[in-house]
Amino acid sequence: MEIVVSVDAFDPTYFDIERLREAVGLARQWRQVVSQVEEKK
Amino acid sequence: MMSLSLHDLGRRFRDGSLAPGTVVQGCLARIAELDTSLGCFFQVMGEMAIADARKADTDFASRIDRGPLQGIPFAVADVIDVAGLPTTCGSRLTGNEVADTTAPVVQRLRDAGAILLGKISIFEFGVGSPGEDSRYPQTRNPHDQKRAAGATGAGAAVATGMVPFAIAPDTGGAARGSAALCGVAGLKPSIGLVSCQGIFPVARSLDHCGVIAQSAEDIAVILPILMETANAPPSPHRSAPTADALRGLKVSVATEDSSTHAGMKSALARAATISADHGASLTVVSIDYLEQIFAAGQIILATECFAVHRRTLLEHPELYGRGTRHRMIVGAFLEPADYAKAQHTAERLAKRFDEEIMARCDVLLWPAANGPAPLIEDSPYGVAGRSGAYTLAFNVTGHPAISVPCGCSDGLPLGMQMVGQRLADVDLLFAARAFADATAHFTG
Repeated sequence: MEIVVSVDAFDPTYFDIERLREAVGLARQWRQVVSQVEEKK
Repeated sequence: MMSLSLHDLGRRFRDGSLAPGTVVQGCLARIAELDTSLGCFFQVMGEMAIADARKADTDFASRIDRGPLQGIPFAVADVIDVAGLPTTCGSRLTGNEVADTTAPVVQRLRDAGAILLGKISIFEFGVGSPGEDSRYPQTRNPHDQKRAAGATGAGAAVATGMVPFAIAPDTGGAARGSAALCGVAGLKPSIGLVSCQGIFPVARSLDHCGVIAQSAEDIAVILPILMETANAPPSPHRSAPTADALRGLKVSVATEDSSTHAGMKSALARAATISADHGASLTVVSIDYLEQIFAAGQIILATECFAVHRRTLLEHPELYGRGTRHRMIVGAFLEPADYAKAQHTAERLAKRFDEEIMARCDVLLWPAANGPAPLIEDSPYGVAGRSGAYTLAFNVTGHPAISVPCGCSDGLPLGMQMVGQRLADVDLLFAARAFADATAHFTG
């Protein structure tokens, strides 16, 4: 599934772009790991 | 006095050789001596505790006996409501709003005569990452103040004798992690066994109410008082176990992943050997899907946590600490379909874990933290990363898990989890007490 929220949606005064990208990366990583379980069914 | 077990404190209260007031004064003196540098407490209710201790002194003198916790001081993490006191959640967002009601878990302890000493530190809303803009400074590890003490100061407060025991939430391992890093015992009970009502939620599906004390023996005294009656398993009377109680116990030890700290690997192997030497039957198991349970747990945690904070986090991000807002924002990048899939996966893998592992053993041995306490300057900032890597899985599966000291690495304590069968918390504590007896002379 594609991420529909963009890191640009957040106020850079309060949210660091690098940290947001890390968050996107983590979400993607967890999603992939869980999807692997689904595929193995 | 501060190293006495709860059993010994109770015995001495009853034979008149020690008074609750003396113990409360001793705790307050330790807090005054150490807490400026360690930062375990957000609030200390000294006068209230002294008044309660005076009442306990009178009750003991009048032979009024409320049970094993009468006159024993305790503390609660400051996400737990106590009527008349502010619940700050370690956040500037909450101000000093006073709670109207008392969490059932605190009420049970007070009804049993335990004395509330204060409110213990916890990361902002139980998930934050402390920084210079945090409402309170980060708790420091009593074994080395340059190092972290975990997400709550409960482990550090108990380890230093500031308080005999503490109650803290455990959604991904806060209670167990804090205990592991500070060299004391921390239990996450079976899911549903202890009420989380009146505890500010992190993620409702995963929230548990943890107990931190000097030892599994002390937790075995506390847990029956905390248990919801409807969910409580039978609690057979048993005499204090010795290492002999390990005989015949079915112990599984999971092969660790390649990233496990070398000192932790050695400690776990030594724990397995000690158990076998005392007659436990030992099986080495491989649980290659723990990583998948962890990932599902992270999705559930991030999504539910974001749901709680979404509006305020997006409208008033300035009210959250910088580290906290970056941890919470992960949930914004997850979809409802991710959450549904994670819940489904968690349920399926928990069933598999039950059938393949826990149906064949009494206790599973597994690290509680990846080695000793990290340096504060090395602690992860912002996103959650590997936080709870060894503990979160059992919040997902709901099995009881206790972190117990299992040796040292470079003079710092290591914590091992003992995981038991669901709702067999009493049996798990019995096994943990036997293990503690077997390792009583082990210094790592």
